[in-house]
Amino acid sequence: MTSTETIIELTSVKKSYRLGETIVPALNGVSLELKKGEFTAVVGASGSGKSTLLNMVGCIDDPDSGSVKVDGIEVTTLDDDTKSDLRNRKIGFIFQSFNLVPVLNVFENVELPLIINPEIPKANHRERVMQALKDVGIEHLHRNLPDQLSGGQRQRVAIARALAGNPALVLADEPTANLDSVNSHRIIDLMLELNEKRSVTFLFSTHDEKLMDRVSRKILIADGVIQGSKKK
Amino acid sequence: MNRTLARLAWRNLQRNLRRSVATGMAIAAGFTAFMIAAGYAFRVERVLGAYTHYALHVGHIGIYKKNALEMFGIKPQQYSLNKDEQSKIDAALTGLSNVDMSGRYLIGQGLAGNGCKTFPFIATGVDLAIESKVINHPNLLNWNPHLTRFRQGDPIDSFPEDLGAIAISDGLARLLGKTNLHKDVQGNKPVIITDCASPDTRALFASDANVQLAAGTWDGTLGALDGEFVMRFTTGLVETNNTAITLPVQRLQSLLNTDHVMNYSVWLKEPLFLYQTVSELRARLKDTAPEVEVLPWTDERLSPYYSGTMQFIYVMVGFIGFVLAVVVILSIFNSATMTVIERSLEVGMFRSVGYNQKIMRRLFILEGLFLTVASVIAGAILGLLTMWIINRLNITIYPPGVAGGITLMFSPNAIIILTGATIVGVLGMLSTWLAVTSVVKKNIANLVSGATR
Repeated sequence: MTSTETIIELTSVKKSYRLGETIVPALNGVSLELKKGEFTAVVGASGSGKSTLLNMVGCIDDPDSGSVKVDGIEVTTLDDDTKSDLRNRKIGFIFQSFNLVPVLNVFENVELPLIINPEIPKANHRERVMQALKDVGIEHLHRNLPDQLSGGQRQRVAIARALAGNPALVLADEPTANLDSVNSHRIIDLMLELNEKRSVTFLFSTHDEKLMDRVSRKILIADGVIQGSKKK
Repeated sequence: MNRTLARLAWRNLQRNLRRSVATGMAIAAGFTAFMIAAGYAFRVERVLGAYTHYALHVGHIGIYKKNALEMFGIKPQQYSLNKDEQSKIDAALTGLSNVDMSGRYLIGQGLAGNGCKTFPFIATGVDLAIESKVINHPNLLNWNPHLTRFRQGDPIDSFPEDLGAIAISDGLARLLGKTNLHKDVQGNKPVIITDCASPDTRALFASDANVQLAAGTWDGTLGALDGEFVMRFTTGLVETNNTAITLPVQRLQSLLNTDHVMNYSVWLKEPLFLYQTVSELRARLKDTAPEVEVLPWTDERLSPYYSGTMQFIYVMVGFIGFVLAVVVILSIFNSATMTVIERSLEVGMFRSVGYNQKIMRRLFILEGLFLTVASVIAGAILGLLTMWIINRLNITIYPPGVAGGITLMFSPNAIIILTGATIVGVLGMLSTWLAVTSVVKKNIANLVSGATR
């Protein structure tokens, strides 16, 4: 389902962090292009720069230099409010530790991105949320609180939350890291299904061999530099 | 969105219930203390205000000869209002719409005797036309019931002028041995005391309501007159309760051999417009009576007892208010800081899905506001209950200088409570804002990775 349209374009992106007196380079001139509908994994050892790369793409961190374009918009020059708005409309996030709000039930957790999206009227929230929950197979749990769910179910809620606003891109940082192998398989299957069904672009970091084997594109990163990119 | 944020904020408060309850209790206890102190201050303000206006005959506005408040005791003739000035003041007061009533007053001192012994007195010459209205004013009776508790007899204006009716304070009447009033001894034969050392003397004093008053006149001679004891009252103050006499201003003028008065007291229909009426009066008297000054009752020289007491009480309430403010700021700041640090991952998630800094601040501020409002409501209920119980207990306290003691009462005032609650709410929101603003500004990548915890 990959299109020719570019959704992400990174050009010579550099990012380094200060650790006490030491400056640690995390990304060292990374350039990358992602087409709409791609199902891409960023693979590399710990500290290779995978998460930093995802942070740049997700507009939740700023590069020291270089250009980051999301759906044709240069994000490095945007102010915080505009970037927040851009994330809300165009990007969905799936976190390793799910990051669900424990005092909100499944429905309310999934509804969170919709509440601040002025383009989605309140009247449509229920339909959107229930559709997203149906897509991930847990619509019957919509009244449950997160602590009444298993790890796999929680990650499904997180995926539904990422998808509820119909984003162009979903970013997932080690989405199966906190799951057992059965649940990991289910989540991978689910993400692939959604990628095909909804044509959503997925970009995720992973150590998981099972996940790496099933992606349409694999980007290898080491020491903050992209070493290569393999397409199936 | 706001409803969802409010719902989330309310539920978040229940996440760490122990912390929320502890913070809330600190605020509630502080607010209770503030309410009780404010309730006491309000009560005292009303009691002393009514006491000053009516029992002390100060009124809402005093009209004096310039510098009379400092100099009248030394040079009464020079620092009192003469006939001409009195007529100009009467003219100025005519037609002032906010004036309820006004009266002429004179202070004089001398010796009061019972035929055997004399005691010093300080007499207030009052305007008979309004005296009953002044001493029976609902404001005075409502806020100073302890004054009427000791009041016996009838007002001096209810007796014929030739009787020479006077009212004597409780302490002075006791010193003079005058235990019976005119109405109790009416019809008795005039008493002649021939032997002051006789054991029957006390009974003779009691069977006669006559008191002799003597004073140095303003022109340097000696004046004397008879007074008939028709009413006993208390001044409420130990300092004056053994010396006070009230009599018609004309009688005192006659004793002091003058046609001057010390001042005019003016009572207003609407005391809220005090300063406006003062200005109006000043303007009217500016040209006709330039040597006259018009003072609002809040002037320290006119109401030193009220001003001194209230200053002390306001300092006390201010201190409690300050302590409450510190408690609110520190409690909420501490609670919000811990909350926001514990929830930094969650803050990161919210920011990632598009919630901007403003919305995040609003969420936490709502939590602080809910906590503060709930605490204030609890504190207000506790405060009202405490005041209600104490008021029902009828506890009499004996503050220094107060004759006969006063009942410890608290008067909660809605405006003070609402103002205090609003200030506490604003402080709660401000403290939350201070605590969360740096966290929500943090790098989102660090928040979601937990690097900021």
